[in-house]
Amino acid sequence: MTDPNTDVIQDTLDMLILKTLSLSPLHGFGIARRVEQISGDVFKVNPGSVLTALQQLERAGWLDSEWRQTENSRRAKFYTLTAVGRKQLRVETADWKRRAGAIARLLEMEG
Amino acid sequence: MSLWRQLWYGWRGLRDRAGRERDVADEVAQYFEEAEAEWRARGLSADEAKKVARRESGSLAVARESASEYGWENGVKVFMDDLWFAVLHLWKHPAFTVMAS
Repeated sequence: MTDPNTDVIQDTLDMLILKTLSLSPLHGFGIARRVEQISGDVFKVNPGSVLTALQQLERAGWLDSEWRQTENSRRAKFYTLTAVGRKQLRVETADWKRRAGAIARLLEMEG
Repeated sequence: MSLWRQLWYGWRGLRDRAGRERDVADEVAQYFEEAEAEWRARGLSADEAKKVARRESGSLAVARESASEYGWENGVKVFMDDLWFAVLHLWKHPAFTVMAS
């Protein structure tokens, strides 16, 4: 039996990062772990993908970042959601629900 | 999508390439250190934690390369590097260049 696919679908990683940061500021590893934990390990995120996505979102103006000390006294880059980012999260969440609803209806079709 | 932010971040990356590379390297290193620390907290030895973290998260070098390659400024950097290489080659081997053309 093949292992279930745990890759995050490309367009949804941005939305998951925005959602995670809407709860509290986090660094890259913290974001990846939060996504994995809340998804119940359905999704696994690799560092290359998440750190690249964070750069993309920061340049889009949806996140801000600053270097801080972690609890373990390590230097880490923490990301926070901007006001524009919160608005983008609402847009992406609504779009996702619309598309997911359409896919669910199609999959329930009999015939 | 903020065009000015895209331009500003890219310009900063071009102006201070070493600084940008250092920031990316630090961020990737911190990611893997946190992953290892998490496994050590679960009772694994330092070596075992490192192995499991690498297996889980993949290659540190690949992650660093992936994060470093993002941004329009990398296209400019590659073009400038290629241009410099071509100019240097022309300078060192003018006869070859004349014959080739």
